Amino acid sequence: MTRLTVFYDARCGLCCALREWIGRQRMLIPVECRPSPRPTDELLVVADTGEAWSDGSAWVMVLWALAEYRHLANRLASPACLPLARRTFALLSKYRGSLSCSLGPAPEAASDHGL
Amino acid sequence: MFNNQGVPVDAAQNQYVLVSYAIYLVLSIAVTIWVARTLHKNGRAFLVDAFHGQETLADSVNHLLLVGFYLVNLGWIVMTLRTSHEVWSTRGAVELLSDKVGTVLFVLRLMHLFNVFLFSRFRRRALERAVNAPPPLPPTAFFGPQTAGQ
Repeated sequence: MTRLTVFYDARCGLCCALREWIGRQRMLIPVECRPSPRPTDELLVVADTGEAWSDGSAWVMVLWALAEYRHLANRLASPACLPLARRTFALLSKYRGSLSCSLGPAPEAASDHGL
Repeated sequence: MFNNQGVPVDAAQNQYVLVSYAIYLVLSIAVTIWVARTLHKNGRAFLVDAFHGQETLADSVNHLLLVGFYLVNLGWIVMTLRTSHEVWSTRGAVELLSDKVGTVLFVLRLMHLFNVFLFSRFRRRALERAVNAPPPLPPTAFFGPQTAGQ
């Protein structure tokens, strides 16, 4: 695996803020963020090898690709932490609309939809 | 006041305590040097692995850990040298000595554990960051390499 592509919802302010945050991080595996081609509720991470991760797993994989957060990602992926991590990421996804509002308007501000 | 050998009591106690101090220092410092050398010798392999074969960097970190280990342990030994116990006999001196050396051995054990923990953490972090490290989670779908990134 030499590359990860993150498909995010470009209409979600939180997602755009996260994309910018990812862009500022040091990466162990190059991460490319692309707007999702179709409106979707799922964050999707696809590797160049064809493997794909969605939802909570996708968040963990994004963290895993970043140098400073790989250790955290491995922790989150452990059987003890994974259920809690998945619930947290599901909550983040669920309330991303209101979180986006607090971050200001998204670049494409038709945001009734999300991540 | 004199004891049964005609030596003043204060001087006798002083002698016991001084001999205890001397033995305590020699024993504690000897054990500290032995543990430090063991860690220094056997921890090197972990560090070389953790720093991807960069021996100069590994040796440098190993030496810094050694200095830290000596400072903490020798500091502890010196700080805990003083006793308020009164020592009137050889038995008392041996008991005082065992108390003191036992505490030093216990602290050395904790420091040794801490150092081994550091060595293993350096190595674990290095393994995690390896280029061919496997992803932490199994994929939830597989699109095939030809469609990846599309």
